[in-house]
Amino acid sequence: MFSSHSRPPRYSAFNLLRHALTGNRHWSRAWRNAAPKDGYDVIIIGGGGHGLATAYYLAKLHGAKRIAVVEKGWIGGGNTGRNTTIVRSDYLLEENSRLYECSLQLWEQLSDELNFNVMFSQRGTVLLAHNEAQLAGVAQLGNAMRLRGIDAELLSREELREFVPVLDCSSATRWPVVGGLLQPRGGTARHDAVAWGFARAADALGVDILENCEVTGIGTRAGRVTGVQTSRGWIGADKVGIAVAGHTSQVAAMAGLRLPIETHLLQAMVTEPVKPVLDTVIMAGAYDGYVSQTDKGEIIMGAELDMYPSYSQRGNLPRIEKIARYTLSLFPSFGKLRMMRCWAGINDMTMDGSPIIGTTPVHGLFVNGGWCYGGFKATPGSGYLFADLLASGKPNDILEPFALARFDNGRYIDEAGTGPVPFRH
Amino acid sequence: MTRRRRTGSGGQVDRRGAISFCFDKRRYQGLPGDTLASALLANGVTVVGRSVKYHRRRGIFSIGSEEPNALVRIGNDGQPNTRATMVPLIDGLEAWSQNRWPTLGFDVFAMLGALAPLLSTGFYYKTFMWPRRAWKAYEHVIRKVAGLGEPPVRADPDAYEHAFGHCDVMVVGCGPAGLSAARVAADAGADVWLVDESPWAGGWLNRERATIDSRTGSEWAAAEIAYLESLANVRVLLQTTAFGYYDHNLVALAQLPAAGSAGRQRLWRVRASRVILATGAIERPCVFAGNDLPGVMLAGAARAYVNQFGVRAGHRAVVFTNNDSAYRTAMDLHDAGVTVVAVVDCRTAADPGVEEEIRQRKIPILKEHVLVCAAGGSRLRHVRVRPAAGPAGRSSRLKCDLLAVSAGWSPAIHLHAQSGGASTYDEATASVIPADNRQATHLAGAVCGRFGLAHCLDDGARAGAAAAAKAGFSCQPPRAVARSRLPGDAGEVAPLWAVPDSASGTAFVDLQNDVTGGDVEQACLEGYESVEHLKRYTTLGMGTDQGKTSNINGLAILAGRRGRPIASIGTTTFRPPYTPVTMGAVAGPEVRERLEPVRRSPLHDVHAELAAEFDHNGLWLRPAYYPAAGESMRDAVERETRTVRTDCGIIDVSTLGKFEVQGPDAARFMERVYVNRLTRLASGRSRYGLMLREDGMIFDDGTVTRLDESRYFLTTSTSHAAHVHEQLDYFLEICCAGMEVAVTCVTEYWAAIAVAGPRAPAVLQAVGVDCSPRIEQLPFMAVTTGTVAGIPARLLRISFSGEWACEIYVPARQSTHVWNELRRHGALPYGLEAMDTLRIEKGFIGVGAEANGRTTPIDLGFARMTGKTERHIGQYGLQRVHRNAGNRLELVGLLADDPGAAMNQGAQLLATQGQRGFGSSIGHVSSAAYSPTLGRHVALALLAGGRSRTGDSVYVADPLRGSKRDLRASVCAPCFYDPDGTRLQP
Amino acid sequence: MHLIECPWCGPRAQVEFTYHCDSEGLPRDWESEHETELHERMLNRTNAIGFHVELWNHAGGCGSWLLIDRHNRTHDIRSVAYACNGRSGGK
Repeated sequence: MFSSHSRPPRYSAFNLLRHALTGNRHWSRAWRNAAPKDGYDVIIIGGGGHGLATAYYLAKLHGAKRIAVVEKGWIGGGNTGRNTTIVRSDYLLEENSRLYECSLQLWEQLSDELNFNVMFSQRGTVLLAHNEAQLAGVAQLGNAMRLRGIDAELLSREELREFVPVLDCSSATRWPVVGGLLQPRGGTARHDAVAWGFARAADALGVDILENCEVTGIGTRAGRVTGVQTSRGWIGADKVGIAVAGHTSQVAAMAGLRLPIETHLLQAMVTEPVKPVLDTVIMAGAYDGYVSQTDKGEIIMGAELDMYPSYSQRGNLPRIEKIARYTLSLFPSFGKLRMMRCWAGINDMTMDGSPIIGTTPVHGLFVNGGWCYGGFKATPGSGYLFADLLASGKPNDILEPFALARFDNGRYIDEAGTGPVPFRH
Repeated sequence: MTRRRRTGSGGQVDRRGAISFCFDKRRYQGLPGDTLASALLANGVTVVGRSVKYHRRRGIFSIGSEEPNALVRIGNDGQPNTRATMVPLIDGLEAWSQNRWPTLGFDVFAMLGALAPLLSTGFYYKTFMWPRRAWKAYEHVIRKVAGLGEPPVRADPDAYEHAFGHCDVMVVGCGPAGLSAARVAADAGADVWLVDESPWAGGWLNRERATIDSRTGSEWAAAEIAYLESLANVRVLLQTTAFGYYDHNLVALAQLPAAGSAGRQRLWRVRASRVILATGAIERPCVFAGNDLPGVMLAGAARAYVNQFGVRAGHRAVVFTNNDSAYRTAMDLHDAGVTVVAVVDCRTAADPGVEEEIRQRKIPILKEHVLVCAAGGSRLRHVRVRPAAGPAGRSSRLKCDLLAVSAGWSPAIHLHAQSGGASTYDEATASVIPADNRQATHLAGAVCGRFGLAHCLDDGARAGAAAAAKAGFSCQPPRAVARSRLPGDAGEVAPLWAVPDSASGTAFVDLQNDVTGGDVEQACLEGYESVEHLKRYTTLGMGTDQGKTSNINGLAILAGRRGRPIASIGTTTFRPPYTPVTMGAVAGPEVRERLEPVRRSPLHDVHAELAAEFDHNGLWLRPAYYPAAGESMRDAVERETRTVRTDCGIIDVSTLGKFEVQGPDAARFMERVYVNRLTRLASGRSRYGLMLREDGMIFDDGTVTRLDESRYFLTTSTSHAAHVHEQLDYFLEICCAGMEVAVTCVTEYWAAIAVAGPRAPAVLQAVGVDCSPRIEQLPFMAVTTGTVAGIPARLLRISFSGEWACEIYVPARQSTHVWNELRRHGALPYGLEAMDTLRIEKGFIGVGAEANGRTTPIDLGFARMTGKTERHIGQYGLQRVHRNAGNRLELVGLLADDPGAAMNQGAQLLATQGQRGFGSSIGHVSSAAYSPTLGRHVALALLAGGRSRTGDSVYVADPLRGSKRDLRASVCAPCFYDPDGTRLQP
Repeated sequence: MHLIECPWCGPRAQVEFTYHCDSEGLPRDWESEHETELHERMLNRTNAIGFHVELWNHAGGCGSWLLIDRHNRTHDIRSVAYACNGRSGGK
């Protein structure tokens, strides 16, 4: 039976003051240290942003009562805590656009919704164009966005110079900037806070968050899912959702599935913190790189993949050098800043570069994965939509194109147009 | 402050010299051999910076790269966040304090300290949410208060280098273990690299009063390094940090130029057969109230400043420790004239030898005592101590201006961990020590948790021998190990992480990020109790020091709070770099103009002479158009387009990918590579060809020319040439392994000039073309060889403009002559823009525009080409895509109702005027141009179910570029000019 | 950055090589494969953690196509061989 627990008090200025006056010794847990029960209605595998958001929306919007999130380590410890925190919805293809815009709209309410400041900061994302062909490309993208009611502005080189003074808009560089596409509503968020905020809010709705609980098997009987075998024992469930970015293939394989996914590393790094110098997010079309400055003052950079499969989560020097080369070519005054920390995220790259969300051949088993490097911005949207899928058993209009079956039908969602080469998307 | 800080003698500074430097505009004097930190201490400067969160005054805390406090900016508009402990002093050095406003002495933001209880850990996650849209305003202020140093404003004027190295043995760390290891390996004949982050070899030998073989430690180190530097097989790099240990024994080094020299920072990638890590250990502080005050310092640093620099960091010192090493601090300070008030030791007993030394100096030892708090302002005034077991309230006061703290030593396992090596918690030394290696690594000295000087020398010799042997060098048995003495160096400690009941708001775990013991406890209360959650929630260990002095204390407090052994808690991941590395050095010389190579056509200089405007096309620079004096781009493009339609134009198409495919199976191979049927392509004929990807989408387009039975010549688009090469090569090797075919890329060998227009045959005749049949009679899509203006040439009668045209392929080096002859006889150059206009008028597809990676040949109107039954690349993919295709985007032409209205590439198409929202777009304009030939704008578009909409009206929406009203246009076949192709024929 | 032992050139840095695909993506017999076979190998992958035989090209060196047996987490390399029975070796 579902154990009762008291709902933690809401965060507020008054609440902070009260704790300050009592020496901050009486804070309660942000989420319970729950023990696994024998069975649940729904189990979400993966305590990252997507899994926790799914549990939250299931409990909040679909009235689901017995929900568990099982996480092999600590929540938010996978790609939720490794990405470069960019949120935007500037996608060309209608399918992607619906998905990411749904998510962006949820981001805009998220701190309020969760009573947890996820520091979603709409500082704008700028996609740079370095030649006329790229400029035409971003114009097509921007028009597509505008028609759909999504904000987009074309910036000339002069406007860019004014908007991002630290950006080198001169022609004294290999690929001069000729313009860019600004999405003013885009920006960044505090990645860890997203996991914690969803965890706290889901927990308050009765969701059991089971950390250090590794799934080692998925039980099925007669083509139906029956539960999961974990490092903390067997847990039964009628419905199981997989949301394990970086390990989708492994978990799906437990149910005998083979997916169109290959896993690659994406390198990222931050510099030492400095005073504010870059107030927006710059994405350079010339190398798929992105640069922004965190609230702490670090310049955070990420770029293309290592171009060979890996699960190592380790930095790779040539790629780091390339990120530095491109960043300094755009921002020549960053040369004296110091690189402070490098890391890598594990990206489940699909064969068409778009995520897979949908039913599987196993009844009651649902998959949500293959987010390539676009997963963080999708967090609330992914959870919201996946919860809907888990509750209803059927994909809604937004999710329908993202089903696994699209590969059988040749209806790829190939935003980059690079074909079934997972590391080129 | 009247008493001198500098001792009268001793240390490795040059007392005859004098160096003048500035800190925050004030001028000071230092000595050669000083660091900025030692010189500031020598001048009695106690406050050197402000902390991140509460803007508390902070002094110099350590002596090495672990420094959390003393971060300064070097030079005007110079490098921020520079650790003063790592900066060798040079004459004229200018340093500035950071993170204070307006001055270091009076910082307005210091008031934040008073609000500390409100600003408890993670407070920002719990507030700033009201009103809903106000976060941006809050954030603006937060960003200003956060951050450390000021970023430079000007472009970095420095140049940097990258270098590569290979060696048999790489020794990281130049202390006793490293020196000993390097010597043994070098004597065995191995190529040895010895690196150290410090400007001085010897490590702690310079900082202790040790003796080795009856010499002082620093003398011994100097002799060893001099010997090693004299060997041809040894390279010693000082001021060089091994910051990353990557796969397959790749070690990354960041080398600083010698202080004051004009040298460049250099980044090394060194592949070493064996790596010896002799990286030593980092002393850790203890957590108690006021442990961040200026005057509180690591015990090792306090004696190091005396021993190496002759600088007394204070005049009245208290030593607080849980291990023997800090007894040496008491001894060394005392002997240098500092009044040592007491040694406070939480243990019941120390090593009898060191205890005796302290007694001889008449320094009181307070055993089983702990330090309760330190008090002071811009300098330390006193500390309070009490019996460890006694009641919390009762403490006594000791007046002092220096508190030397040691809570033990943490092996610097960073590189070991980066290499994938395992580690384990060691109870004896209360530290995390290396366990198994993952790579070809050896460990020596304190990094293993073995701290004695004799141990280090011994360990080093053993590791050096083992590494040399593994690298294939037969090794002499290590020399008789030196006899050494350093009292109290056993390294055992009684764990003491935080003084119980002292965890107030000023008991700091992480000095740089202002994380207190209370913050750690609060994080645990709130459930952030995994190490990673603790780190991320409190920001513990996330500063520029990456927690070198704080992580273990945080871990231990966490473990205590959770009632679990430290060993079971785990650690956070050690990530590169070991210490922060200048971005410019990481990037190296290939930045800005040198970011990527520029590819230029063999005719580039000719275009430049003609004042062409160039455009970037991949790595290539290509002429976009050739403006006459005062001519606008639009006028130039129109003129060039008309020239081709009415006269004779020439364009440089040398950048096209060019391949020769030959061999007995060449015909079979071609049949598989291209979607169209090529078996019946006769020798001497060309054909337009489409290459697909296996998923059925168009990969590239170009021409296929059959030179003879077993030899083909292919051209590809400029942008895809490299990928096409890879695809052909892959396909040949992997899919057609039995075939006898060779694929050769000949892009670089041939220059190519397309001559197009009704007057082209006449111009060619005038230039002098010797071929058979005569050029003007050469049929469309035929090929021949001959000479043009005396230069051997291959002539292809193909056209990308829709006019009579011929592509002339000549050896790259002789192309200028041909181009100039064509010009001399009346041909006018045209660029990419005119070429684009011409192909749009004809409805030819562009790679990237129509062939965008998501379109099939059927989508683009090439259905006729696709019927082939023989297996070819993309056949099955195409079948799958079109088996149950819905409303796919198809290529159409568009004519605006208003012929003068421009349609722009990237505009969207709508079924009804003004329609908006998801699902409203039914396609987009893929290419557009003003057609001077037709006197109107024309466009190609990809339109859902487009071919069945011929004759319909659609609306062209371009809101992004400010168009207010959607433009009505009618759908037509994608060809606006000479649809029957009569102009192509001879 | 891996060190890859090219059978033609000797040990070379990974940046000289380009990864092409997992050997699961290679045709068994291209000539005779069926549509379903093509799509299965083109799209689906085991993608397990462990050793995989992968097709690489020594693009910045001799141009050989190589099958590299490599662990995708530790990056250990067990073997490197010509993809096509030494055919590439003569380049």
